[in-house]
Amino acid sequence: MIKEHHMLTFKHHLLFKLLFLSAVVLCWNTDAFSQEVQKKIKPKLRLSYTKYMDGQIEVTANAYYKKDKKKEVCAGASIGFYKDEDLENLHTTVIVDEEGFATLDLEANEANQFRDSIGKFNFYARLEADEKFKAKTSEITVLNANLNVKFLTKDSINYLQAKLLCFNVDSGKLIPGVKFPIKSYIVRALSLLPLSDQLNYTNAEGIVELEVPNDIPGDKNNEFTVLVRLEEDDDYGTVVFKDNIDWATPFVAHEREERSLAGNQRNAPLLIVITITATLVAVWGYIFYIIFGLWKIRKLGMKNEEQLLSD
Amino acid sequence: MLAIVFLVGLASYIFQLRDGLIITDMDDYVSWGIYISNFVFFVAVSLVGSLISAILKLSNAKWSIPLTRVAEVIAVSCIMFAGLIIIVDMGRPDRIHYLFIHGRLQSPIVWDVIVVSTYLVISILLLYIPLLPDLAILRDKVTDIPKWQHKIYSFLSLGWVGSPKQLNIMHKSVKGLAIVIIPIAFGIHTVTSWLFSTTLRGGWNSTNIGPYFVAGAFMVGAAAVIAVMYVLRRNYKLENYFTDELFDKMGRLLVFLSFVYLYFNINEYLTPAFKMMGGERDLLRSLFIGEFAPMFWSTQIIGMVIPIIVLLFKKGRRPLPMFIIALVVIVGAWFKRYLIVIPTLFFPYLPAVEQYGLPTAIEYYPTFEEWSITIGSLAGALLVITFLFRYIPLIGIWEMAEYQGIVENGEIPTKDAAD
Repeated sequence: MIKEHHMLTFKHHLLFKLLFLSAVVLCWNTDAFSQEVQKKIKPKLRLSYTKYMDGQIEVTANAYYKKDKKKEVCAGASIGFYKDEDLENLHTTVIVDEEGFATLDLEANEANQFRDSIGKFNFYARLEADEKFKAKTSEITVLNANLNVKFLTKDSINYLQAKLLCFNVDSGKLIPGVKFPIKSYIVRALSLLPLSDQLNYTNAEGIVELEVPNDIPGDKNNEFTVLVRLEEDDDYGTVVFKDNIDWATPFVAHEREERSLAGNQRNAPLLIVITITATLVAVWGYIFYIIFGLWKIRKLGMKNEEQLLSD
Repeated sequence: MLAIVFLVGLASYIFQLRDGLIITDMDDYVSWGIYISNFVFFVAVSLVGSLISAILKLSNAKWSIPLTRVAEVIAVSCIMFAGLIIIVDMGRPDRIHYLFIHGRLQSPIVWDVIVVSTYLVISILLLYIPLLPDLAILRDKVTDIPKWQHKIYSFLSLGWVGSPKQLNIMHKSVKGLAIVIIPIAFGIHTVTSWLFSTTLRGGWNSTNIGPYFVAGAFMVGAAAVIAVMYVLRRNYKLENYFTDELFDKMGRLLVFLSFVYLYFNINEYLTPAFKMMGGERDLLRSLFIGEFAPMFWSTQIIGMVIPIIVLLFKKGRRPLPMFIIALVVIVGAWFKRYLIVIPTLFFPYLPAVEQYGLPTAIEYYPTFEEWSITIGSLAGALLVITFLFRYIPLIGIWEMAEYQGIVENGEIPTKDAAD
């Protein structure tokens, strides 16, 4: 009995030890365990393409997800931009910013790396899987288009004439883009001023012509910036033309000539100028008089010393 | 200890110079943080110089003579740090000279720069000129000091021999400065209050704010003198000079000044609270029952009402209770400046805000750097006071001799005067 009792105790000890060790191992791995259990987020990825007529091309990936019906951005995630559908030929990796965007900047000639044999530009992107997000891929295919703008003056009225040329796959050439909506703006400090209330479509020659008002203020050089856009077209993406033109109303510096509280340094109200100047002269005049008194005390001290020495 | 705290503050300021004001928690809305409330506090304490060495002196309150030097030293150190803390609050301190080159005379900020620098110069002169005979005594009578110290006394005493002509110049200058400093002292704190009241903000848009600031300044200044006086009395065994009677008189003065400040406080809060309209309503709610209520009621009750009650009793006007009360008043006064400056910025008068609310919740929690610079500046002011009292007499020797009737007209013989 005694032997059996000892055996049971030994078994119990062994069992307790094993349980204890398992508990320690489990506790040790809590973090890893919880990370594996934690559900990764399924992000959404949307690509957009913008061509600037000064030769820059931007492919922008917008990475986000929904949480409690609210849109949250995947800030800090890595987006790989690839040249091929199989996502093997990586061009570059960009980190998603705080706004949820990762932008690939390309020169026009660089973009040719993404061009296929029939002239289409194919961009592939993948939000790389990490501890927080699952991987997500997206692609965008666009054709080349040019938006050229001329500034014309006819009978003292200013016009801008925008011509859209779109790449045609069949002919392999740029041909006028017909019935495309073109939007035109003047760039202001905080927002864009539309030049027209309605959408303007290109005609059979791919041209849109708009009158530019002659009462728009500009900068010191009498210039303002004009922005003409084909926006988010399914085939051509966004094409942007931007340039300055000196059609602004003459620049007049807003200097208040009259003396007032709101005036500039030179136009302070006379009452303030006189009061402050008089007070300053009186008080600082007295301060200098006191300092002069100190100088006299010093002089008297030196004179006294000399007299004592001569005595 | 003071030096370490000061150096930590200095190190934080170097980081701020390197990285800019981004290291503070100030933003578009709370653009004036604890630097400005600390500036207002320093300006307030500095007013004590004019109270003791001008107002009381000219009103023939001779009992305050032993306090003159203490008050002037506090005034000089505080106004010095008031100027420095304004520079700390500047994002680009390298452009400080722009204030003088491009400053608009219409701007209260320019008025403040003028009046602060003027008050600093007058305070230094008012400390220095009556010090001349004492420096001469140190030069001639104190022998067991290092040579460099003797040379400095010799240089600073300007060859003082106590001749009638020198005495005449000194007396005239001190009297003149004592008169001039009074409007400047009222001006400095009134102009500081105008920095706030000339803007359309809840809590600042008040015609009462000038006298309200001045009254509060005299109160905290008197408390500062009491606190320093107690420390000096204990450390240097000056019971014969900083007597119990002197504490009693300062206690009475502090009660009087506290009552004046209480009166202006009631004016400041009661009239807008009666109307409870617009931005004032939101601000007053946050002060009375909102997030600032604990601080607000503490400053009002612990920092003002309780000191008044304690000091009304003779036992409360004994040195130790007075010292404790003075410290409570000083701490309360610092937080009162915090409450004057910061909560207002949480409630901007913007039409867009009234219609749509604030774009983001306004929060302000001073960062470690802000706290260390602020506390470092307070330590710096105490360091200057300690440094000055290490090398100059705590009490004007000739003034005391004159007060006690030992000499007439301050004619303490130092060297032999030739005339």
